[in-house]
Amino acid sequence: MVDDNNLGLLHGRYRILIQQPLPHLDSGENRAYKVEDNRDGTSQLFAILLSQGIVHRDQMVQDLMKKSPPGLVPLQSHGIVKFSDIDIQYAFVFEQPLGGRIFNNAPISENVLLGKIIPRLVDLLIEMAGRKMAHRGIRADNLFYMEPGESGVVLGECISSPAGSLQPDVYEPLESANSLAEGRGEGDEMADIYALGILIVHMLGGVLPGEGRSREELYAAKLQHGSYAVLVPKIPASTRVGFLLAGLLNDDPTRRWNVEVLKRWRDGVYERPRPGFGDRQAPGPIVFEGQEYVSPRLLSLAMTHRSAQAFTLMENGKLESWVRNSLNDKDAASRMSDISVRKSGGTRGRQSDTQSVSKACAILDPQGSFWYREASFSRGGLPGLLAYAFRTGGTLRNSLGELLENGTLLDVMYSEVKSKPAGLGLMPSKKKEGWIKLNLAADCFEYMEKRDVQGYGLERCLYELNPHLSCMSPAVEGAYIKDPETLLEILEVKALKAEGKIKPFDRHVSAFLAARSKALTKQFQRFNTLRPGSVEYTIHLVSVFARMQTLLSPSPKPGLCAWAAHTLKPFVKSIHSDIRRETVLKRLDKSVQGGNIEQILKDIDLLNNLTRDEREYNQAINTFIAIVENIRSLKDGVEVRKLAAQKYGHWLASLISIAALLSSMGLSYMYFLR
Amino acid sequence: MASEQAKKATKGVLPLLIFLGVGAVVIPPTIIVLTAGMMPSIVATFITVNQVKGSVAAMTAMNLAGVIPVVGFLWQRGHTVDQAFNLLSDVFMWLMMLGGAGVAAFLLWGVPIVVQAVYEMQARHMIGRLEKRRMKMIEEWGGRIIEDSRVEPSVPKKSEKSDTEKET
Repeated sequence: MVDDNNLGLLHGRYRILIQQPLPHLDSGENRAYKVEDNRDGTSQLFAILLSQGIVHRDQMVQDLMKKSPPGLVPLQSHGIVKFSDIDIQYAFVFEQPLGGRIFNNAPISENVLLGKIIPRLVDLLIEMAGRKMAHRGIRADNLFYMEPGESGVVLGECISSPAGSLQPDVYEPLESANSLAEGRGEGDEMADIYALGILIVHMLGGVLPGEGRSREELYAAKLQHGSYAVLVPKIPASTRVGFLLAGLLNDDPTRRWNVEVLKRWRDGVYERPRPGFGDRQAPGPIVFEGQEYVSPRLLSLAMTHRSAQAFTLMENGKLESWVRNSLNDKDAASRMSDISVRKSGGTRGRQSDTQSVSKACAILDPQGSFWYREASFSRGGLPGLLAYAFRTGGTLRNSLGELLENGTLLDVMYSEVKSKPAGLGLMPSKKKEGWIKLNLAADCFEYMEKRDVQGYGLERCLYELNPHLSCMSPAVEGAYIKDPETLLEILEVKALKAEGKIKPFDRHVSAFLAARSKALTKQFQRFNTLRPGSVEYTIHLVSVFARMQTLLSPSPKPGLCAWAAHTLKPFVKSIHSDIRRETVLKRLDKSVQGGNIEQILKDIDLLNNLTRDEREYNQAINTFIAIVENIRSLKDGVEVRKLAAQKYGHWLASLISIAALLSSMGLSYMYFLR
Repeated sequence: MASEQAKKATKGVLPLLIFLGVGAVVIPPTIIVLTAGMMPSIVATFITVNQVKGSVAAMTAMNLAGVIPVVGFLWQRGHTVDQAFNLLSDVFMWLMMLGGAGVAAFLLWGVPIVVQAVYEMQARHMIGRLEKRRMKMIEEWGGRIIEDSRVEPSVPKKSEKSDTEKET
């Protein structure tokens, strides 16, 4: 039980006023609320409460707590807050920017932008880059004045959502421009630098660049003409801004302005960069669906739209030939030839086609997003996207499940490991950054192989890939569950309130427990051999909770004991023998009061009792049948008995007669011969 | 079937005829008395072909028990054909000889009735015990055992079967 005074209190200091929402400070799906500081009544704070299933940036939080860089809205504290016994939330407390948003959809003058806002952001970027941090939330609506009177420019928070997930599509560089929002990955400072360029375009123009275009249209346009050509001519910009944007918006990360150039620019040394012109061009085109392509990344994009036709292109060898001869990329051509292309039909065949196309697209566009059916994510973006897929459900989840199960991602990763960095179009340092960690990809492949078993499947992948994600089970009703201990406590409270009538175990709970507590992994493997609903399954389920109680939280758990009793009672009631049933029920009721789940199982010894009962009941049935048959035969046996009596009676009569004969003979002998 | 029954009926007749043939030559008076006195048994032998053997034996033994004293009187008073006919003309002798047969008939009628009465008493007692046991099992296992015993295989296990059989 939580003390009422501690409800809504973070670390005994920050009281989150849930009744005072601050919608203008909401961050995506996460809601913002006013905060009272118990130690400093003058401070103006706000909190962002994490919604269920949102993956926050834990490493970034740790880095910011060490030292908050100037120019970023200061993070005061973070942690778990209890609003009631079952309402547990994760909160981030920030200093509140009192000056409001800087950008209100009206153009900002170049002087204000370059004189006041951009230098502050450049300083922040340089500071963060020095600490190997990427903000991934640099956008016009995330800029605030810290104090009233338009002073103290700060960038809003970037930790309560997956990196880059709140960015409009246009703010993303080519590396993540085609990814789904939640799958954009951590990125690096080069993504922030690109976003800074877009921010300038946005604020100068007063409208979101590329507004009205879809994600894929923007991606295609940037690939075709380059971001600078697509976005910059439409705004009133000076030459100075033009050069700045040409440097910031170069689509090639190796040619984009880096932190060193930004430092020089801040110090007044202006360079004259050449703007980028989109993707590399092959000397000869390849025809796909009646259109000529010279850019491999544009071809890759087109192939994702028409995977069946793309498969035909691969099947007839034209694609490999184009990569080898026109693109002159022997390594990519060699990897392309390794992709299994075979004629196939049916559902598995279509899946195989999609796998081949996905692999080919990853070779054609190694810097861009990974594509598989509805899923599209950047390097490091799969965990966040998987969490999003579980929040929204639908085909995206199925696509990700299929991707992890059929090994396509593993194949692509192994293929990349073998390839040369230049072949991937990546800088040597980028070679190390995979789509996810290779060992995790291999583990997920294994989990998906056992997807029907409790504690495995896509849910297990979700919790293994997102080590800080709360349990998403409906049983916890949105409470933030950081570890199995908390899960057990929440379930205990819920079970106690519902008198044990809850369902504390589902695929999410099992996967969460298996991922967070390795000691329980073996317990989950046994579910594979048991039939759901059977007594063995139910006893094993209760024993898992008993083990959890023993290992994680040995205090009495009357609520979960009530649940265990509620779950086991139907099986106890199935005992045929009235005496045994009543005895076991009494023992069960007595054990529940002790609060120890393991003791319940020991006391009632259900499996043994059921086995003995079954055996004895079968014997009893046979005995009962024999008794009934005997009664019937005795009742119907009058004639038989009559016949038997006659036989026996005659036999007796003959005995008497013989005795009489002998007597007669004896008496006659004595009378006549003596 | 008919020939088998005839064979059974005539099976003991041949030694009897030999005995009567030899006796008629050696001891004619005794044979006359025996033949006349044992008439009920001879008749019973032929009319109780399909019934239990005990009835003929009882009839023969009891009949013979009545005839032996008459034969004793014959031998005491003189073993002649005249004496044999004298005795046969005595109503008391007939009473003695046929009285044995009558007693046998009475025993054959009365003893089975008494035995059946005992059997019926035993059966009622056993039914009472089995009913008690049945009720006890219903109390222990609940009314469901009645339903389940209808669908369970009716062939009991060997050991259980022998147990229940012992009781009956």
